[in-house]
Amino acid sequence: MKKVFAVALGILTAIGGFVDIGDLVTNAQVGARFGLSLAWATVVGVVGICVFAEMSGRVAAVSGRATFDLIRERLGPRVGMLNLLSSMLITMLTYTAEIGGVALALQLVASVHELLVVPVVAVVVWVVLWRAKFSIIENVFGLLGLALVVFGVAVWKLGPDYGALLHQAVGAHKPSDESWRTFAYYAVALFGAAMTPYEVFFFSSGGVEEHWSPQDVGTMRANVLIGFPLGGALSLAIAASTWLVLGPLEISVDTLGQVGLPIAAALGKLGLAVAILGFVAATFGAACETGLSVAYSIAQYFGAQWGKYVRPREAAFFHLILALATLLAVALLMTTVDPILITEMSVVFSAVALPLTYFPILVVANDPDYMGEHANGRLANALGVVFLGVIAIAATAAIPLLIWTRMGQ
Amino acid sequence: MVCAAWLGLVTACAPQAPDHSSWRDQAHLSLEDVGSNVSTMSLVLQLVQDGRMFGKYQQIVALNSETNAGRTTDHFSGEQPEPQDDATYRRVTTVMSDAGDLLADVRIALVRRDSSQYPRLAQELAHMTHRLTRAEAAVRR
Repeated sequence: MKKVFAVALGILTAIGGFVDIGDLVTNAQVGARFGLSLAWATVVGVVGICVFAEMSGRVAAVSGRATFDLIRERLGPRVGMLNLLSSMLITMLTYTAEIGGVALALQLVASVHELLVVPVVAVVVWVVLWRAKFSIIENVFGLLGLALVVFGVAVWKLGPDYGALLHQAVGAHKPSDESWRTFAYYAVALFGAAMTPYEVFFFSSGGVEEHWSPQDVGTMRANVLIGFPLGGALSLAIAASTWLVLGPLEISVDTLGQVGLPIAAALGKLGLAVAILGFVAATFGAACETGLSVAYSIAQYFGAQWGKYVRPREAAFFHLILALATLLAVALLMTTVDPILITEMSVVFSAVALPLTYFPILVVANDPDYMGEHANGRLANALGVVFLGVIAIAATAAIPLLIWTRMGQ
Repeated sequence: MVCAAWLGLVTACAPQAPDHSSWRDQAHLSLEDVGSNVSTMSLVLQLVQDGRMFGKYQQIVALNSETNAGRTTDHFSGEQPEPQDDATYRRVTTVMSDAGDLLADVRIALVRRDSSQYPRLAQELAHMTHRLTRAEAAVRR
């Protein structure tokens, strides 16, 4: 019974924790413009994150060490540093976007300028990361993030022609008033949003925090293979709802407030209140995960004590990085840069950094010295290699498409 | 290095001067963007009239729409048109400026909860959407 509860809780938190500010904004933007014609990009991204999250979770469960810890040891300090720099740049940008996202979500109920909210949010995030237990951070915000299921309810309430939606999703036809280059740009953005590097760092370091052993591999797989695809379904529900309400009015999504309009149209004030709860929980939970990911990776690379399972005094370097990263995020947001713009940049640049993040994971998960009988099998290797190919294409195309389309215009 | 810095400084002071085709693309995108904000405000007003939104949320969405439309108008007004585009420039900037004024009127009414103004403003927003669509079509030609 306890095992069933653990699996169910893990799946629910994986669903609620899957969506962050990047998924919210990108899926709403794409939904309003392209409907579900880019659903395939989300599906490919979700399968990709499942493949690599399973590998990194297995590495943590079998070796008892986090992925970054092993990358440096297995591939040497130079490759480790390249991996650290590329993924940390993106994770830091994502951390900033998430803190900005919490501020934007709170602004919708407080009506206070986001710049006044940002420092308060940052302090609360830092205090939670310093004081709260790892399981509380993971479970509370993951479960509250399930409030975003309201997007699925809204789609049902709007009563769409499901056949037409399915045809749009399966046919993947580009709308006639959109160009191929913007279609490709948003495909890369959706892929980047689904495969953000911090997710695997957080997942594998979290496994070490929770003392996973080889006996936990089954539970971990259930979390990944059921929770993440259901989280991806939430992303598709966001896209479908914006397509149904904002698409016919030719509204392009530039603010978080617009993302909630389909909910208000379908479910009224109560639905909107639930959606805002979901926005706050999803962005706050992701802010905690990205903040921890920054500190995990840097501390692991330099061989310092890290984690929430030891007292802050024993992991002083880890907590110092957490504090500095939070300060840096606040400083960036206080320049009045639009958090939505940071979000858009972070998902596209995330696509650029993906090869440097995921290739070392494939190498470590294949190494029998670390993994023994749990090293990658043929299926995991085939999927890993195929997805590295897809990742390489997305990474190569991301910057040229960003410039060519002027960020999707 | 000095030359590059000097060039950067000089070009930063001068208005953007795109060619005819790029300027028309800019005009089209700017009209689309302002149109999107007008449609957002229209939807907000409709949801408020139906009792489907609460006060703070509607204020923030309205304010964001007004700010975004104003930013787009300011940016486009700073683009230097070629002489052959002068008439289009006047037409486009006039309609975008009128849209900005209307969005401000709607925001004021929403913040004051002045529901007696909502039906008139909804009609004006629908008319503005029509004007922006016509201006878009004219720029495309």
